[in-house]
Amino acid sequence: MGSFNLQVFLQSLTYNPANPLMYQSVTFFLLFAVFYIFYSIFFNSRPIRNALLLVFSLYFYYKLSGLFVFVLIAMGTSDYFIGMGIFKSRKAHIKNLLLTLSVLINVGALMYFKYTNFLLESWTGIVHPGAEPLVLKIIQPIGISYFVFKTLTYIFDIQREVIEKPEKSWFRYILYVSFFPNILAGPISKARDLLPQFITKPEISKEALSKGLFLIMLGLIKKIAVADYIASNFVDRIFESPEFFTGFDAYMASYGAMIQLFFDFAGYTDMMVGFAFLMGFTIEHNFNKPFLAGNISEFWRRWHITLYNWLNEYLYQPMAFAWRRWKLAGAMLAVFLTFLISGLWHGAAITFVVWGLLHGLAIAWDVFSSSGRKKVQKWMPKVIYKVLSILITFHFLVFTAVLLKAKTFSDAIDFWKKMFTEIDLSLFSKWFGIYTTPFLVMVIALILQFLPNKMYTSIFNFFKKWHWTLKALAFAILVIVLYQLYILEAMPFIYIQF
Amino acid sequence: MEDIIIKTRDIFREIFNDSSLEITREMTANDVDKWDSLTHLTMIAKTEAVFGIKFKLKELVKMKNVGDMLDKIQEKL
Repeated sequence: MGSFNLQVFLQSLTYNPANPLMYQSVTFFLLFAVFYIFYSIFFNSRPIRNALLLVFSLYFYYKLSGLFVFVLIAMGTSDYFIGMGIFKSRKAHIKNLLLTLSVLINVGALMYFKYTNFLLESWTGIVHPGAEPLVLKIIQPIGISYFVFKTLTYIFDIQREVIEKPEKSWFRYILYVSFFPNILAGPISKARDLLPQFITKPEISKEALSKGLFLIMLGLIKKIAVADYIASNFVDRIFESPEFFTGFDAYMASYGAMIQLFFDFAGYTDMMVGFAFLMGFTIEHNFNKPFLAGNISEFWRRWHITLYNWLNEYLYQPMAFAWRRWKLAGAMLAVFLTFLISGLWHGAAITFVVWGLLHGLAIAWDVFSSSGRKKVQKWMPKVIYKVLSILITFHFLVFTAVLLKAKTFSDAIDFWKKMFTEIDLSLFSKWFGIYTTPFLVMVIALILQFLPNKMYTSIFNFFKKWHWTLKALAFAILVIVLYQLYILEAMPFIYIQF
Repeated sequence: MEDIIIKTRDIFREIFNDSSLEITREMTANDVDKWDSLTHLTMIAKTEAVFGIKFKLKELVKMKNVGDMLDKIQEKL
């Protein structure tokens, strides 16, 4: 056994760009355990409790993104003062001016870090087609898309007087912006929901603790046993070099891509909601069985719910309200622009823009076809109508998910061509022979998705009754078993890149 | 107020396509079948036109039920 080397240990506590801290890693669990001991000891003192939370959150962000932690603090600080300014100024035009300033700072930072290269490339492509675009070395602070949206809810709500008093404490505001269960990839908690929870004493009931642990376990299974497993053993191989595979492989990989996206993001969110529960906080979940949606409008009420709510409240509603005299045309324009921006938010690339526009089109279709669909609904048996709508919606999602996995737009087009022109169903048995386990994992994961909530509640109720030593043992065994699956390097959560 | 209630009721009847619809102060979007985000905006635009008033988004966000809306209309007349 090697002796303890202090220098190596200390070095492991600093930021390493080649090896950022992962949520699903053992290191993170150990760090959290140390934090949690202190958190429990000082739980009754609000200043120490919040200070511990803030230090842990900022440290976690530092381990993810290095010195960008100062960008996070600076942006939070500017909105802390701007929020105060909006509240204190009596004149409407000053309030508007301050609001504009906050939007400029936040969206400006987002544009700079995320979109500079995309804009440069697009510009070169339009003005000097064929020329090699200038690419700047800009690394983006992790989670910037999320914390920018989070801090903006505070500014917008103060302006609308939904939040009646601004946050007095700078520390609490920075804690709100950096709170570690939201920082990496949401959920985008609104200031009006989360900030008050740092003031009142959080309640850690036995129920909340069981829920937290249960959700963390569920999240780990979703992330490691489903998302990462099918990614490394099937989906990613095909998206990386589709030229070596058949149309049937591509077709199956598109299902896999959608399933992977969902289980990756839902697993992450389960874990974060779980960690929040362990500390006595409630944050909104992002998913509600999205594959049960019967149309795309419904899908967006079930998928990435906190983002959809944000876009609806702060983007769609103001636009639709401003254009209310144009009736349906105004609302449709607002829908379209919202989804265009949603696409751009997801990634600075043509693929994401097209993906956003297709979803916007699908929602426009929902609105225009609603009376026609009601007529069909009248003569078609209810069950058949429901199953058909779910199947059609699911396939729209699967086919558009290709845009989220493909590297460039022309790759996506090639992938679609392959999927739809080179299908040879006779290959299924051979394909099944090669990809038996990933295929079964995909099918079982999907089926588990469709099972009623009641079943999960009864499993949870069973788990809840266990003694704590048994719960801890179950958790340990699960972690050990899951990490056996991790023969490959831990993969980052897909949603970090957005 | 009587007059505001009657006029608002007529707007509701026209927009939500229900000639026997009665409104109450406690009524919300959940109580009316066709009251969704689209018809909501059409109803707001119609109310503004009938009463010759203008709402702000800020005011709209704060209205929790029909009663709040009636009060806001009265305040603006």
